[in-house]
Parts: sequence; C-alpha cells; structure tokens
Amino acid sequence: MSEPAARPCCIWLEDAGALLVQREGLPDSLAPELRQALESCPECQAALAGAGHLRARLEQWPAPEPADDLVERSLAAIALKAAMSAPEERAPVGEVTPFPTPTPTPEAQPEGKAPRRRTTVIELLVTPPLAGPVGPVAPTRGRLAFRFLVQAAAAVVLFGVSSLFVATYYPAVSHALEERDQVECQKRLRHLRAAGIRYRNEHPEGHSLVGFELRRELIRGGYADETDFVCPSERGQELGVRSYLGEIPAGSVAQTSSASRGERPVFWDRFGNHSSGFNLIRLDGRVSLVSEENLPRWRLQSSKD
Amino acid sequence: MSTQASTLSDEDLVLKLAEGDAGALRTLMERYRGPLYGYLQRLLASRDDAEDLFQETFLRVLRHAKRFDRGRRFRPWLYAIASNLVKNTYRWRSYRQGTLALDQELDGDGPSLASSLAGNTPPPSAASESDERAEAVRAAVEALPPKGRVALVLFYYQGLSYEEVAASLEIPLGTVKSRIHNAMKRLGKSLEAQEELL
Repeated sequence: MSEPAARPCCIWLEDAGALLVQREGLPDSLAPELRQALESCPECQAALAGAGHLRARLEQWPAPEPADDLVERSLAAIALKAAMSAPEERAPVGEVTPFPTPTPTPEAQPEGKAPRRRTTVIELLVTPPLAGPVGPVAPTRGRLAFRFLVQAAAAVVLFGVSSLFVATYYPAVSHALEERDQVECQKRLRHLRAAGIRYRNEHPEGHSLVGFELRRELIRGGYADETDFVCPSERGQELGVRSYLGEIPAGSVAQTSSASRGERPVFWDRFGNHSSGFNLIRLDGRVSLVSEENLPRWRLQSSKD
Repeated sequence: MSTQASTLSDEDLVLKLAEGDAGALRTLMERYRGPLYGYLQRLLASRDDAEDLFQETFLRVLRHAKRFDRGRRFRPWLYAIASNLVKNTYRWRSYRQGTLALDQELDGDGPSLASSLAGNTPPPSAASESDERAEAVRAAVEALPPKGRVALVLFYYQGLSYEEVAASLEIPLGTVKSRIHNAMKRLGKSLEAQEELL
C-alpha cells in the first residue's frame, strides 16, 4: 500500500479522515476546488470509500441497551449513598427521633427566621449543613485550662480524703486485727495445755517433755493437730509449727497442788509473734500476755521455778 | 418527567439541580440513560460496572452541581466525570490483573490514516453474520490502548466534537486529534485483518 501523493486534497484527507468516519459525506464548508480535487483523485476516492466502510463496520457494534429500571435503581442508590454520607442527620441506632433541629444562632438567622429543613436527598447534598453545632465542638484553650484545674483540685481533694481515712482507721483496724490474732493465739494455747494435761494424765510415769519431743508426742497420740502449734499471727504463720514452745513437767498433773507449780508456764509463743508481747499459758490454765517490759521479770521468775 | 423539565436545556437542569430540584436529576438521568450507559458499557464491557459508574457519575453531578460553570456545556462535563471514573476503573483493573497500563500511548508508526482507509474496501460477502461482526468490532475497539479507546468512543459512538472530547478528557485539542487519528488507523488495520480472515 503506497502513501498518497502530497497533494492538497490528500493532505486535507489525512487531517480530516476521522471526521469522514464520524459522519457521512464531505463537510458543507469544504471549498469547491478542494471538493473537486477530492473527487478527481483516485487515492482520495479510495480513502473516502474506506472511511465509509470503516463507519459501516463500526456501526455494526450496536449501542448496549440499559435496563428499564436503571434510572430508578440509580436514584435509589444515590439516595442511599447520600443518606450514608450525612451522618449528622442520622438518629442513634434503636432510637427514633424526628429531624434534628439544632439550636439556631443569631448568625444563622439574621432576621429571626428559622432555617428551612432539608427534606430531600437532593437538598441534603447540595445545601450546606444547618446552622448550629451539630457535632462535638473542640474546646478552647481557656476551657481546657479550666478543665485541668478542676481535675487537679478534684485529685487533691480525693487524695486528702483518702489519707485522712487511712490515718483515722488504719490504727484501729490494725489494733483490731492484732486483738483477733491474740485471742485466737490464746485459744490455741488453751487447747495445747488441755492436750498436754490429757497426755500427762494418761502417761503419768513419763519424764518431762519439751520442744520438738512434746510436739511429736502430742501429734502422734492424737492429742493435738499440727495446726494447733501454729500461731495465727503473721510471724507465727512464717514459723509454722515452730510458733509455740512448751514444756510438760514430769509426774501427774492431778497430783500437783503447789501454787508455784500451778503458775508454771506450759505453752508460750515466741517473742515477736505479736507486737505487744507474747502469750503464755500456765499449768493452772491462766493465760497472760507478757509485754516487752515484763520479759526480764518473767525470765527471772521462770529461772527460779 | 414534567413537560417543563423536559423542555429545559441540560445546563438549566443542572442549575435547577443546584437549587435542590430533585426532578432535574431524574430528567437528566432519563436524558442520558442511553448515551451514558452505552459509553460506559462500551468502555468497560461489563454491565455491572457500567451501571455502577452510571450511578456514581450522577451522584457526582449531584454533589458538584453547585460548582457547575454556567458558561460551560453540560455534556462534556458529564463525560468528563464519567471518563475520570472509567480511568479509575482501568487503573484498578490494571493493578488487579496486571493488564495494559493506562499510560500506554498509541504508536504513530505505520501507514497513514488515508492509506489505511483506502485499504478498507468492502469484502465480497459482507451481508451476514451481524453478531460476529459486532463482536469483531467490539474486540478491535477493546484491543485499542485505553486512552485511544476512550477518545474514539467519545468521538465516534457518542458523537462528541473534537472540542468536546478535549473538554471531557481535559487534554489539548491536538492531543485529541492525534489520539483519534491513531486509534482509527489502528482500528482500520485491525478490522481489515479480521476481514481477511473471514
């Protein structure tokens, strides 16, 4: 296929070929001499015929037919998208509210006239939002500072009240807990004394039992449990069965009649189990709390016995 | 569609739309239902995509109606919106399928348009197999590079002038002519080759 000669008609055709495909026939505005040249030029005639053929070929691809309800569906889809893109107009989930009417501002209604409600999707999209705050408003610096001060003051007050409460009630609570431990401790000591007396009554011929041997004999014979040898205080829990010490003298307890023998301690807890001293129980069943101050005197008395 | 709305020009309808007249949108959609859908369907070859973009095009018309320039014509504006959406779809498809890139240009090599047209003489048996021929044309148009395809469809099938195509694609007039020229040249060769096979 050879290129057409560079004649004016061929040059024009090269430039306007697409237009000849788009619509049939030569343009009316074409100069008569150029039209005559086109008609007499065999290359141009072939090109014109080819343009017509190409146009005919392109026309064989018919325009696709849209669905009948395309417009209706499109309008529905647009309405849906518009509703989704206007979150400030939506009511909370599960709540049916009328169309929101924000508080009008003087700027929004200079003549005291309420803004007209936007009722259609079209209006929602093409008109600006209604006047007035419709969403969360960013706080100013002053408001932020005020909020910080209020929060700081509230924190100080809360801390003070808490401290006062703790200062007032902590000693009382602590004392009450200590009292409870002491009562429980004395109860266990009584139980151990009773166990020791039962043991001694059943084994009157035995020698004096002290410390580990005493504990072992009472537990093995079923007179006491391991837990009976644990002081309920915090330190006693750490020491476990070593919380208490004791001594059961030799001979039958029933035969004991002397006052000094009756005052003899049989079980006592270790010093430091309780903050105010330590408990002891005597052979005659009296329980006493030996304070730190009375400890030397008690030791002296014990050594005499 | 009311009688009054149907007699208004496209530009007047857009202005009414900007004022909140919902009927104007329906009128415009009815008016461009066939042409715009045809444009989108020809370029996208997908009924679903064409309908989606039809809706999206008019949604954008609705949203930007207030910004419509009174001195501008509506039809190029509408096709500009639609063409941008088509470009986005091509980009997405190209990204997804690794197919032809959008920025691929038509090559200007080969014989001139006039000589290509001169070779497009009717074959002896060109009276039947309309479906096959339609499919052949569709395939030939689809084989064009995207930019040339869009320009050709706007120019030939939608009947837009060079100036309107330039306004729709937002490119210079000379570029439009060049793209359409090259697209037709390539299309002529492609159809000629198909006819030889037939």
